[in-house]
Amino acid sequence: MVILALFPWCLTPELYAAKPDYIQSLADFVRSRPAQSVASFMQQSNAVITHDAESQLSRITALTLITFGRHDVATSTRFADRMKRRIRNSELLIFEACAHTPIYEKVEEFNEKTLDFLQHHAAAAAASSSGSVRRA
Amino acid sequence: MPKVKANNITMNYDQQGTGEPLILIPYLSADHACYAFQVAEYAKHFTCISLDLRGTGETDKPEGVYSTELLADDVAAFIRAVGIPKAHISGLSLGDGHRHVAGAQVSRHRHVLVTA
Repeated sequence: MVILALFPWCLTPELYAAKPDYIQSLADFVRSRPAQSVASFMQQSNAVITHDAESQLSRITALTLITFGRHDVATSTRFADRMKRRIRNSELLIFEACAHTPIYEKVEEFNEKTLDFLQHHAAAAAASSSGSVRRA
Repeated sequence: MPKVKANNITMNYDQQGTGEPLILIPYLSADHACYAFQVAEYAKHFTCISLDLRGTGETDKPEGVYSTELLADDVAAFIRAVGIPKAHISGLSLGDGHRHVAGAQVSRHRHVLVTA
């Protein structure tokens, strides 16, 4: 179900054409994990279908990195600007040549850029915190 | 794999690495292992805690209606149950941070990665 029904929404046609062995390795990985029952899949799917987070976004005060794949047809970039506006302390990062899963389509780039975000701001927070101690 | 009782279910999770805690929330149908490619790098810098949401992996799969609010409550309860006062939060698609951040009231947490 995941491999036949969800993969095509998550990965670009170009990736299927360029790296069929990699697609196969992702399929093998999914098959190696505990299978989800149809009932649980429908329960989680209904949670997605009935959800609208827009009114909740302004409650997020933590510094936030929003990422999209440029060619995502599941959660399109048409939502990107609205998300960025409503999450007050946010940055937006769009991965080119990706669909819904930059975590698999551009692994190295995704890891590098998200780690950079986390580490940069964690270091800044630590410096700010130690600064407060020094001032005290 | 460690398990913890949270929001009246037993939740399964994996923990790797050292450093500040980073909670990783899976996408639709996936278990904690979906972040294998990320944890390989993140764990060099952070304590990566990848969980199985309600209905997946080795976490309980109770009957009834699931909502993202319920899943957010699970994540919030999980964070309390494992005793983490402050964490970085990351999620993808179903697990994306914003769906869980608001419900989990994690505005007090450090940083959020929202992968839409």
